Amino acid sequence: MVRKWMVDSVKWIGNGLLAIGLLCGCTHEFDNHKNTPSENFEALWQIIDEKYCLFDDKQVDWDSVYAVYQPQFDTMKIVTFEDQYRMFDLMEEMLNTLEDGHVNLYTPFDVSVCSSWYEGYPTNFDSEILTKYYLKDYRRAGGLNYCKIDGDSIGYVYYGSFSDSFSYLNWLMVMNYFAECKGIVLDVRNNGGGSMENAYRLAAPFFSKDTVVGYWQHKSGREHDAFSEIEEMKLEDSKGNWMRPVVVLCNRHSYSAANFFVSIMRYADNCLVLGGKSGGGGGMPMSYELPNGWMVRFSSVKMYDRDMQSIENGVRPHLLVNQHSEDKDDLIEEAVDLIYSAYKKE
Amino acid sequence: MLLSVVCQVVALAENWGVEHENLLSVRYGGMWMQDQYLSPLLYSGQQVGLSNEWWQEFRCDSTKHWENVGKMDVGFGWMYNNMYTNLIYSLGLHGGWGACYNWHFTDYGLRVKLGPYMDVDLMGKMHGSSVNKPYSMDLAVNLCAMGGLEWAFRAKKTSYRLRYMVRANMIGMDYLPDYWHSYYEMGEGVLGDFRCAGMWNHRHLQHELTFDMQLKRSTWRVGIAHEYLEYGEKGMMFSREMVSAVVGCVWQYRVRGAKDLTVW
Repeated sequence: MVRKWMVDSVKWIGNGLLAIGLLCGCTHEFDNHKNTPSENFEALWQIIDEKYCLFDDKQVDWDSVYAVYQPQFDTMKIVTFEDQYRMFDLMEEMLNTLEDGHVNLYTPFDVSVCSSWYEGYPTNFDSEILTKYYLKDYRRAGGLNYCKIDGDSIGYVYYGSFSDSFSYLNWLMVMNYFAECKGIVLDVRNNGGGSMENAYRLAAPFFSKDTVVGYWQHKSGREHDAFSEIEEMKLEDSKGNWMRPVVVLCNRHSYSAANFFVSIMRYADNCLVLGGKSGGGGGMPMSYELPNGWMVRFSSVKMYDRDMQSIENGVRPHLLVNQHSEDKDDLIEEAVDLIYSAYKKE
Repeated sequence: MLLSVVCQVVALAENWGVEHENLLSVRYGGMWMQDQYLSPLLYSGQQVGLSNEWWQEFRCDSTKHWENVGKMDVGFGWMYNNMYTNLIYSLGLHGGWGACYNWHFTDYGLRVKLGPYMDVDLMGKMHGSSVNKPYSMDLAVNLCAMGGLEWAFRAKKTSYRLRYMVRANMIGMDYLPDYWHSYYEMGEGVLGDFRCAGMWNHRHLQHELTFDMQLKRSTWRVGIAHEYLEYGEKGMMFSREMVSAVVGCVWQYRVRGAKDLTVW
């Protein structure tokens, strides 16, 4: 009797456990996206439609983009691997209508790239000239490459990527090395961006007081004009300031965090920005996945300069200078002259 | 785990002469997760965990009807999406304390348990390839209802115990990130991201079936555990499910005056 009751109890517990497990399993509404070309297209179009922050700047009618591309995905079938490439190419083409370097599609076999934002602009940078005549015997502090130029009287720093981190100590040591120099040339040409933290860190010594350097706002809803309150971006007095002249060099390939850095350096003490118009990329990116596991990156946080102008399309330097010479860097030479002339004025 | 040990040392000091039961177990199993802040896709993979659980009678309860239970648990999971293109790592921490009232049916070696349980559930998640949105977390403080059945019996001079325990949240608070925030904005307006949570909008069920057996002088536990969590708001859905095989070691002891403690 007791044994039967025991067996029944075990059965009852087992069945109960199974039932609860199944019940929980049934409550899933996991993964309601289908992995078909049309659903992937719908997901991609919708992600951009709801989350992209720069429709105002781009003046792109996203609904008409849908009308153009939707029929092509509707009839598409993924059978061979070539079909994957075809779908990727079509999605890339659609995304590139935004002309935004921060909009990319990441797949296991390729990454979509938009190049229209820098095409047609002067390069203003020759790495061969730089390494041959200026950055010959240089030192490295984190991501900062630095040396003294023009008879050791000017400090020169080349920072090629804001993804290459450096510490504030690195930066202070570099400035200490330049203690006897008349000024610094800070070169962020061909810097494709990276971390905003590094941009703040690099700019900090050139601000002697707390300064509002820009504003930002992020998307807060699905509508194209749904944004959060505008927030200040402030650079605080670093208490270790560089008080002598500094010239920032930029070109069209100074993008994203480098573009932001150029923008904020316009408000620094004793600073002049020189070169070509920077590349833009004033929308901080985010990413999200499509049903097929591909990842789309897009601008989702909009940045403005201190005058509430969007910096998405680039920042104009104080002084437009283009590279013409074949045996010297015209921008560096101009920057050196400007530093000397600042002393002459005094 | 350190906190768990400290709690138990304190409990020992407070409950001198009271019977204690302590379980240290490891688990391994499958894990499914959806976190729509990070990704719309379902991720599935594996998880491992280490858990410490203790049960002890209330000192003042001469009838041995009331006992308190505490648990500390840490787990690590790794999950892929269906296409194996991206990976999410998770690190979960769980701590809780509760009390159980026991109904004894001594003729059958049966105990029915029921009581409240308070827990903190935290699981940090990291998406392997997200830009500016790589982190998310489940965070909740819950008052739960806990119940179970325990059947102890002897066969061939050995003690066995079969136990089924279930725990479900009733009411508490949980955290939901703002969908539009990137990771560096998640700290902004944190208080606004907490909400009152209960069975109607946050379902967290944990249950396990375990079998304890005495092997010579030690007692071992094997079992299966299942956990299901589901909540959502702001157009986002968060859920996770884990099924684990559990293996552990049980200690039952009395600090002073212990007698025949391995017989339940």
